[in-house]
Amino acid sequence: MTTSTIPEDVRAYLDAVRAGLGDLPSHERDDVMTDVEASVLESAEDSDVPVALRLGPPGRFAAELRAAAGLPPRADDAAAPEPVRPSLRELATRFTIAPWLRELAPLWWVARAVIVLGILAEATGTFDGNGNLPGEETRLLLPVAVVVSVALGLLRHRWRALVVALNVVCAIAAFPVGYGIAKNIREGDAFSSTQRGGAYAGAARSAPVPAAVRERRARAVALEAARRSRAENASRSRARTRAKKGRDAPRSTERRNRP
Amino acid sequence: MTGMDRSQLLRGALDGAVLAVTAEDDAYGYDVLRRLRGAGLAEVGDASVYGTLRRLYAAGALTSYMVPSEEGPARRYYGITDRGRVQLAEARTVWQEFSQALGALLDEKVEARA
Repeated sequence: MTTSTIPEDVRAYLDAVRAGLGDLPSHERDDVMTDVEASVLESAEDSDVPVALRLGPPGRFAAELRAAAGLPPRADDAAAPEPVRPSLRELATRFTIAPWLRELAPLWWVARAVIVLGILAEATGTFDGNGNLPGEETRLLLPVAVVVSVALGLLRHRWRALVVALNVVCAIAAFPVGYGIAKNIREGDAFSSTQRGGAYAGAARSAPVPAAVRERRARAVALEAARRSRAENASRSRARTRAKKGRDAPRSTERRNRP
Repeated sequence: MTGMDRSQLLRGALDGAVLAVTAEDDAYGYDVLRRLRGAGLAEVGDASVYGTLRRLYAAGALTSYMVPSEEGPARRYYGITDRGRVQLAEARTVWQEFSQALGALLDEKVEARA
């Protein structure tokens, strides 16, 4: 095809693109332009839109061409940075969430309800003097909190950002709250009411063993000691009776007393 | 497509798309462009396609040969190589996994889990 049959604007456009590759070695530039010229010419024939409008500014065309071809950008061309080309694998990793994590979501919904109650108890400190939730309130609030948390997880809503923030807060608070609950379970009844001396876990503050709990334990120990000493006395007195009565003790009693 | 840059998504996937086209049949630059547009990728840029062809050729995923044309300059045709086929297969797998995961997330029927 002779130069005269190439439309003037296309010729000018191609010259400008070639200029945009001016810093490349001439054989490489010629190589690239061979492809580009043939294709641009043919595309110009297929369309009525002026070439500069259809393909964009020739400088940008050249920059995009270089970037896609893996060629370095023009050293003096600060205005056209190489566009970032993420590989498909990079994009895939960015968007994929491990499926098993999604399976654990319901567990998290329950856990965050518990954590929120723990945070509330610690923060308000109004439920009782120690900042712990008494049992009755816990029994009411916990199911409500769980239902709300599950609803937030299951239903579509517009507060996704808020819930994400909530998740972060709960994840951070999980450790102190969990520690507090474990501590309270070890020391007494975690969910009984304050009257009976139990306490629902508040938070990181390590509460001293409530006085009522200590009292109860002391009483229990004393009761146990009393029972044991009574049992000992009883067996000792039986043994004395047997000794007194000698071999006349009824055989049935002996058999009963033998282990 | 707010929030998801379609052109960025395309740039990552363009290698696979170009390989797929050349795997079907050898093609020159504008031919590949036409077939990509015909497949529905309207926003694919001319310069991106030509540049990608060169890069894949330089990487050994494509071979090339010149075919003289009576209507104009000789055209450079590109054909896929074995290495290119391997790359295409990998691109297919990666895309499958990616589109499945993303499809599940975007699916209207599946409730969003916060």
